[in-house]
Amino acid sequence: MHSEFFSNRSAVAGVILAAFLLLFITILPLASQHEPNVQNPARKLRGPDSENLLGTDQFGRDVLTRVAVGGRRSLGAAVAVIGLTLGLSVFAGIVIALVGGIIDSVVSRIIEVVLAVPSVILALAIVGVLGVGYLNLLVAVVLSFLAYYARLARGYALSASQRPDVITARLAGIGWMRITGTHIAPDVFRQMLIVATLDLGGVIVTIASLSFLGLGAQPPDAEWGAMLGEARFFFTTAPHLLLAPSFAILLTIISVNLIGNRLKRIE
Amino acid sequence: MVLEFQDVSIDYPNGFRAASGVSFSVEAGQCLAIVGESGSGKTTLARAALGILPKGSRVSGSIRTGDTEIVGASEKTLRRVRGLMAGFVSQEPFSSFNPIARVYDHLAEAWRVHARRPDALTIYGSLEDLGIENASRTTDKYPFEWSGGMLQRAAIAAAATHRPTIIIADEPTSALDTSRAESILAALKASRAALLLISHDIGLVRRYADKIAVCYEGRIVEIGEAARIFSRPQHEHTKSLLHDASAETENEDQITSDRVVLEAKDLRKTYVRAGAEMHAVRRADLTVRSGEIVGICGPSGSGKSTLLRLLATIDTPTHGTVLFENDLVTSGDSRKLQGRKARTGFVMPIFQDPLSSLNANWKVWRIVTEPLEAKHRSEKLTRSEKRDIAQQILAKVGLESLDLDTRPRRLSVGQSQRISIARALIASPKLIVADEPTSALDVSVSRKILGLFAKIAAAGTAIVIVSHDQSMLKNLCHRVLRMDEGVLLN
Repeated sequence: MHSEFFSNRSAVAGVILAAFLLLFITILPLASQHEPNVQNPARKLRGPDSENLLGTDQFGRDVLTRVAVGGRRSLGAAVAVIGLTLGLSVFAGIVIALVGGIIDSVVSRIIEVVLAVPSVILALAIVGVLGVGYLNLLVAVVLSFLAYYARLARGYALSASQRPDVITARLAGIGWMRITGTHIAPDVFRQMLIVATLDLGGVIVTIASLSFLGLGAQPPDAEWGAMLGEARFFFTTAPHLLLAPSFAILLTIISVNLIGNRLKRIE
Repeated sequence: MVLEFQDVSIDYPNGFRAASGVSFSVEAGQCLAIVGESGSGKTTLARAALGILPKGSRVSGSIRTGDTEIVGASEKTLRRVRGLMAGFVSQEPFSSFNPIARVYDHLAEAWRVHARRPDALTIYGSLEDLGIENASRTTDKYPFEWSGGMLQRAAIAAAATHRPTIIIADEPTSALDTSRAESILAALKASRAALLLISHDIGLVRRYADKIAVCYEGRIVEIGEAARIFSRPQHEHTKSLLHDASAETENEDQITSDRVVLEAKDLRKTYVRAGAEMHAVRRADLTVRSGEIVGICGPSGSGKSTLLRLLATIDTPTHGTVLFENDLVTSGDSRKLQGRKARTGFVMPIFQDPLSSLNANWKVWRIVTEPLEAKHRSEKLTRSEKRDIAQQILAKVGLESLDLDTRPRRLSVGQSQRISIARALIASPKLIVADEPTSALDVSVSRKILGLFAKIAAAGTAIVIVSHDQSMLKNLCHRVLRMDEGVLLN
């Protein structure tokens, strides 16, 4: 599996890019002489120079440091959201698929109704109910992705439950819980993990969009979407403020998509 | 000489050499049979003769029908050849008919493509000659309303429309039982065209072929008069093919037990799809004794797989009962399983696709010993005990040298099927149900698997096998039952 994964050049490129990004967001803030939230009015809206490699923002804060610190928040949030969505949906999907009957019908109809609402709009509505804040935003994103994921997991669980190895185990007298734990859940999880990796880019964009709208990370915290949101007022005078976080988002999405596509191929 | 191959070699676009240095000829009115295992290149030769190989295939040598060279011929020439000089009857009747056109249109098309006006009376006549009654009415129906055997006859009628000099028939009888297969071949012979017959059914070939060519790994290893081939085979491979075909297991009188393992009474299964009822199984009664091998044959769609799922209690019947050793397990009255013997490994299944039967992420020893984890088994085994048991059971299915830590992706299909069987055996079942267990396997591999089944049955386990390969069932089973349109005929 590992050798198969790395036999592809673009997958290797994705992994190298991911490693670079991870190093960047972990090491750089430690090595940097600038504090992300310390203002320096004397040096505001400067372009890149030897002191601030990516320039400074409207409060004179170092953009490079803020992109790295913001990356911790953005990437951490995306991974947490995807992980939570994955865990909840695999559990819910398997339960509704295997319990079946009226519960399956009712839950499946609810899921279809929820799916009719675009996920960003749904997340907006949930933030509206929960109130503005980064944690609330993450909960909203999880909930808005959950319906789609649960439906997918239900389908995988249904087809896994009809696989010959599962039928054989059933006839041999293996208990329901054990079959679910040893055959169905690992199988569903594996397939969902690939979907999740491919969706990681979408999740990053969703979180960034909501933060851009001011619903997520609040000042002075750095976060890619929030940085873009603030930078848009200065984009004629200080375009580097927009470029830095945009580029970070772009590289991240390229990286996770390269990895996800390869995982999907070798599945 | 109506068809002549001279030193023909065929390479597929992926570089696979499907035929190398093949030479043979078919004389007018003669029947040449090409026999060999699946994958030996028989079908490739038939397709080459008609110029219907996959795009990008490379053919060298010469294939001539009459005066026409087929290798490198233009599409226009080929179209004239197909139909006027050579008719084609394919392996799978259902897939060679367009499901939304009436059967009549298929027969009429054979006329139209050669710019001739279809003549209804001739069409009906040709079908009635092949034993299809009321042709004027039945040809108004759609292919899916016909049975496989009838469609195969219609395909022959279409192929014979223009009295071609040669008919090329690729496994024309593989979907049929013996009596129908005989009538199809008799019909093909009656068309008085020469016949290039591709078949793996040695018994049939013996009765109808004038000449036999034995195909092995893309080469013709032996060719000669049918009588000579059967009486004095020269090549090792010919001998083993003939041996496989004549290896009648002598278990007719070996049923030692009269202990009833399985009893199914008046089983029916009806599905409701989009408001319409589909009767998959209309009526089936079956009693199986221990040590007995029962075969169920029938065309695809006859309900034999559904019946097997009912017998194995994978699905519950709409009506009727299944008893394990006189103990009621399922009935049409309840969707729940009952009785002490349900879900205890009493019945274990073997499936058609060996690879999907094994959990791809598990090691062999874990796959094989999984049934030991069953709820009704109280003993808890350690990992090394399980590995020992796995080793023993693998030896029983002829895999003693297999590494216990292998994962399924490193196994061949034959090995995978053996592991499925080992896993079934470890549950110490009284009954094994097998759905087309050999259809994904080569002749020689499937022979070994069938030998394994015979051994298992001799040890007292009953086996019910479903297959469309009637000759295989006849060789292996004590009894062969037919399933037709959902009814199990005794």
